[in-house]
Amino acid sequence: MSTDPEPCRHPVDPGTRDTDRGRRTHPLTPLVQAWIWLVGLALVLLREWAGGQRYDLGTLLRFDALGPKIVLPVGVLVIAANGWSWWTTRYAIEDEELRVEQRGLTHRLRRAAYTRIAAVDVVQPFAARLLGLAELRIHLSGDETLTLRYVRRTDAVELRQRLLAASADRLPDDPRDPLAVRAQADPASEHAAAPDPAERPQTRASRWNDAGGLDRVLLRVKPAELVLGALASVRLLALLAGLAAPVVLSLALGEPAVFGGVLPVALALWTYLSSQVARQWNYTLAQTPVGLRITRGLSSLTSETLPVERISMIRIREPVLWRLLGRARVELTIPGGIGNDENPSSLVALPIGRRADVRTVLELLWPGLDPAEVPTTAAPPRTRWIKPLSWRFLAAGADADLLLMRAGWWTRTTWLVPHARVLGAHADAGPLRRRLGLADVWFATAGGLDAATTTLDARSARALLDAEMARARAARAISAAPANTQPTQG
Amino acid sequence: MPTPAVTLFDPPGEAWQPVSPRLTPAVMVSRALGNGVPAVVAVAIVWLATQRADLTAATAAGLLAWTIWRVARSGAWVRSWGYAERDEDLCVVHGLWTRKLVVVPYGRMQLVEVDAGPLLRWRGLAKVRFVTASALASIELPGLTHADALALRDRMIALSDARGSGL
Repeated sequence: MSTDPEPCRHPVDPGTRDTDRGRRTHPLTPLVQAWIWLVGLALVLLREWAGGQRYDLGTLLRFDALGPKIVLPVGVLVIAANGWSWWTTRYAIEDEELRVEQRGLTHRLRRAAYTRIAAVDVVQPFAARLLGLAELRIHLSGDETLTLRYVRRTDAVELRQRLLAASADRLPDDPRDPLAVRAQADPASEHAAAPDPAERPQTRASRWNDAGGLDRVLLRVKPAELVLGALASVRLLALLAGLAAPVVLSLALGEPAVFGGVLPVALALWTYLSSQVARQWNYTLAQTPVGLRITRGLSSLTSETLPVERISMIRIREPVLWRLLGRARVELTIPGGIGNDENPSSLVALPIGRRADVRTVLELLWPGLDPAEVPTTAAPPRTRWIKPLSWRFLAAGADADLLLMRAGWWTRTTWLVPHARVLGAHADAGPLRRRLGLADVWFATAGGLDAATTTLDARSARALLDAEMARARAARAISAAPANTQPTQG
Repeated sequence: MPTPAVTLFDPPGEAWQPVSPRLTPAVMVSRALGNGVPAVVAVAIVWLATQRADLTAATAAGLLAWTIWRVARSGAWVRSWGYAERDEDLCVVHGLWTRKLVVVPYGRMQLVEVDAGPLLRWRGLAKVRFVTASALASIELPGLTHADALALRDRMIALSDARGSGL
């Protein structure tokens, strides 16, 4: 190991003891990051070379309005800035940690001890995907994410394997983990921890999928299902109505300006479809040697490994139209451990599925779990005065492992929270609820999703509150026991 | 095991510990200012916009009545607060119109904050906030005496350390 005390070249930065400062990411990184500007530049240059000849495409895009005057300098500037940041950034894979060091205008050293790694995602945005590059998103405990962009796809996958294996080493084996696959695959993960190029499981990652040699696919969602789910939605109907309104109005009034109202709605529609369909495209849930992995995405491919033991809440959503089709969606939250930039701690665990699929996913996430078996207290019939549509569905209850709450009509929601993850409770009752002897109850967890909530009889609400706080306390006491970082849902 | 409480907002032990009654004048002043100043502005706007004495007088009367009502309810609002330190968690009830009960285990508290604005300082009081990772499970006690606030803060920090981290 090259840990010779190096003469202090950078006294400002005590982190750089090692002589080796690591390597840069892929040289195409700055261009991939600025690919949209690159396209702009190419178009501008093309036009210049064509001698100011009016291209149809150019006029179509209103290109003269932007003009070379803006696109050219800004594009060059953006690429130069990205290039500078790429040139000054290096990463190094050490025995115990991953270091990313920036020495641009400001010096910044980020270190990810393998023991702190919660999850590792491999993301292939559109441009990177074409070039065989990928971004590595390393989620650390404590709401921190380290991004490494871009490295070769095969390198990214290997690195992930290695990081996850290293981080999994510290965890005692979950006795409840039902999957023999994991036990069988254990030797493999040890190999990955101490890499031996010949014996490492070969990776078959490509721009189309992201699968290791030992992966076992457990569930796939067909694109047709995603499209069905997106179509059978009140939101889509509202958006389409919003789209139609300006068209009809502008025709009826003979006022073309109203037509402009289409734009924001079209944008919202696009966002909706991309989040419902494009981002979930080709959803695949697989068991890998280092845990459950979800891969999905149409234009950009994302691959997330789920740190199952850190899940603080699972939420099952059944929108009203999906109920007619017997479909549901499963979401979960992992505080500081997962997700993308927009939604740092929650993700869609199953974009759409039948009841059997939901059960499969729940069984994989929390073995031995069946929400139907959790004994619940329903809201009393007088709840209909304040919740006329949903009152039959409202309920709350708990078994040895989980708190379960149900509410909602437009979107029936079932929350599942392990007792150890309950952060606190809240109950309130306004004048109407007090008159009816009812109360709203919330149980909060850390993480991105809303708190579990429902309306109950006031006395049973208090009983539930007290009992749940006692259960949460007991569960925390178990989980705080030494040499055990497992959740106490077991 | 906790004994099954009779109703939702009953204290877990014998009685809720109240916040200091010395808070009431501070709440009165704060409500009088918070309601009164916008009321004066609103009345001025109505007068300037309509130039009608009857409308202006009606607005003024309405806003004055509301302000007086809010100021008069200050004492009841202060008395509506109650807290209880249990073995493992802190419980707080408050609210006149909508009653709220919040229970937060000591082990989940991330931050205890004591602060006192000019009004609270005038009454020799302080506000104590208990912050967790979720806004729903965070607690604020508006008017404790300095000694109570600091003692409570120190107890909470000690308990929160002893009961382990919030996440």
